[in-house]
Amino acid sequence: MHTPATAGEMNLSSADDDLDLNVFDPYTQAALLRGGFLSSKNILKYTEAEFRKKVKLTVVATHRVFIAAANISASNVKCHQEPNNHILTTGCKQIDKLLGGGLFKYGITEISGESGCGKTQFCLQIALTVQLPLSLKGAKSGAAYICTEDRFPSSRIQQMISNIRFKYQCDSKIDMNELCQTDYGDNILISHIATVEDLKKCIHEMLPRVLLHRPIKLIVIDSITAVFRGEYTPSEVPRRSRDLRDIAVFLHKLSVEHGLWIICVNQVTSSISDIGGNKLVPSLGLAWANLVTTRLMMSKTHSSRYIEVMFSPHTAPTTIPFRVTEQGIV
Amino acid sequence: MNRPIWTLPLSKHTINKLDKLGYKCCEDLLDSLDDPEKKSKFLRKHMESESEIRDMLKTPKYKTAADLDIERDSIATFCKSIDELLNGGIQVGRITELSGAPGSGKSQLSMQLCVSVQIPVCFEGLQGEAIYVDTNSNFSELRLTEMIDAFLGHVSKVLSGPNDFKGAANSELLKSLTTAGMLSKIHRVQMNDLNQLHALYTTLERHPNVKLIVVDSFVMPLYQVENSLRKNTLVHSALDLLQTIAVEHDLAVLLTNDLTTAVTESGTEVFPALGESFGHRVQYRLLLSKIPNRPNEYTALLKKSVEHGRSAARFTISSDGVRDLPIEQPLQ
Repeated sequence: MHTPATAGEMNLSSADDDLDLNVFDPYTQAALLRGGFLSSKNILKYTEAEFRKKVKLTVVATHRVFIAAANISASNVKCHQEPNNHILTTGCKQIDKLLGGGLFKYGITEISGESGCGKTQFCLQIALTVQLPLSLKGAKSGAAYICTEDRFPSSRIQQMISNIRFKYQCDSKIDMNELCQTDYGDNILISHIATVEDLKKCIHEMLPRVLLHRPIKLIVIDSITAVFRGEYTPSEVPRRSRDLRDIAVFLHKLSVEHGLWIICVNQVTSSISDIGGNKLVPSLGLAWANLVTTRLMMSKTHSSRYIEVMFSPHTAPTTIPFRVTEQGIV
Repeated sequence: MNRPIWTLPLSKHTINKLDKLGYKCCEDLLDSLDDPEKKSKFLRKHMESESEIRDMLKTPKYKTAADLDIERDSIATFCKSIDELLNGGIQVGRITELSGAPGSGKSQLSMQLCVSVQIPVCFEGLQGEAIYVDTNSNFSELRLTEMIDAFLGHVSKVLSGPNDFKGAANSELLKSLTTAGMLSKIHRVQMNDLNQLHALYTTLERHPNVKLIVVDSFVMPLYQVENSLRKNTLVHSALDLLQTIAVEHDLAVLLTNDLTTAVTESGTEVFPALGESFGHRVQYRLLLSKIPNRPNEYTALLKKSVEHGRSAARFTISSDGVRDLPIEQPLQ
């Protein structure tokens, strides 16, 4: 049951999690000391009734202890976030408008679509916009890019980087300097991964460590589907759901604790609907979809490409067209 | 009729001690509490304070069915068909569950209710506040602002109309309703563990006017729990807590639930998560879904309720919030 403490948890000094014993009566204090229940984490492992039997306290006293512990624990969830709900630009005004201003912090944004309709382009562009100064709706921080399908398209990103200076004009000189001096390529950490085990290792071990040392605000997984498609036999579907859920929940946790944007690329599967005709739906099923905060879908016809919001807590479902150019997505 | 001492929620140790001291039933305890000489002696021996013991021995209050009917309150949504389904809206003092696939409008309806719980008394609203327990980062200030703006627009339209509302002077009422003011009455709490719901007691002390608690989503913290027995214990202790709060503070509780796939004999089916025992504990269950091939049309299916049988309502989600379908639409 016990998961190894992540770097983030270790960082949370024990004092933050400790109960203030002075608010309780002497008997309760003694009982808590005897049982070694000094941190809220220790106490909340149990339910109220279990805890009461364990520590041999009265109903009222247990209740008081639990409220105190829950208060500490709940306020610890909050303390890792900045007050303002930051919005990150996608680098395309129309898409920003579609999303209700841009990409929202916290939670997982999923982008799905057929191969070659611009998902990777979209992710690359966001890996750059996250480095923009705050005045341009960027976040002035780096990105972690996890590739599972293909090598990281470094030549394409170089092309986009060389174009970024022409794309943005700043009002203030300081911002303009910043825009030109940022070493865009250096702020993107890339990791190539081929199996679910590696992905788990990367997310559970590497990311928390990296987040401590580097100012990273964006995690891209391109794609989450590739590793999950091959490795499981049909009889292993429950295990697949569990692994998926484990990864998604952990990503969620990271995003809330550190205030991150998380983008996951998903492939599509054709599903035969009741009404007839094949329809493309995002892969990985309900187990994954339940944990996605915002779902975007890209599609392509002969002449144009479209991006659609399938669901998002922030805006209504809509579709708009977009283009891929040398500068990126517009 | 004497209630034996051992039925009190005291530790074994205390009960043995009391037994030795000669207390056999609750009346003995009460007597010694009322007698100042005995009292001091008695209290010295025990960890419970006098008020705690008196609390344990109090007779619970009761109400008549007629009293309850007068007190019955509900939070109306802005969608008539859903209100009718739920007998006037989300019921105060009860737990309502919203389940549905991702993107079926659970969070939208939850946020809408955070706005409509604030309808002023002169419009027959509750004029309360709301707590939004956010476990999956679905809380959107942007959306709430949109909904509040739509609500305020509606209010000023109604007030400029011919109908006269008694109570607050109209202009004063309008001044007290601002977007920022209404937004500040929705208290967002982030949590990642159901046991943290205990912190709601403190939040409620600070904001006694809260009439609605939303937990969106109730299942998210449970995804980290592997052991299904443990999961069940957590679910039920959390529900105990919410039910107690709902009755004590006279407020409505709204939970959102995900769907899961279950394999049955006839293939796979989707069900609300958390199983059958959860269903027993909530008083109203609504299953939301998106109507395929119809943009922006949704249904709400009432799966469990004391008042109505299985029935359904249709609604739409506009930028204003959750609303009825436009009337031109032919309703089947």
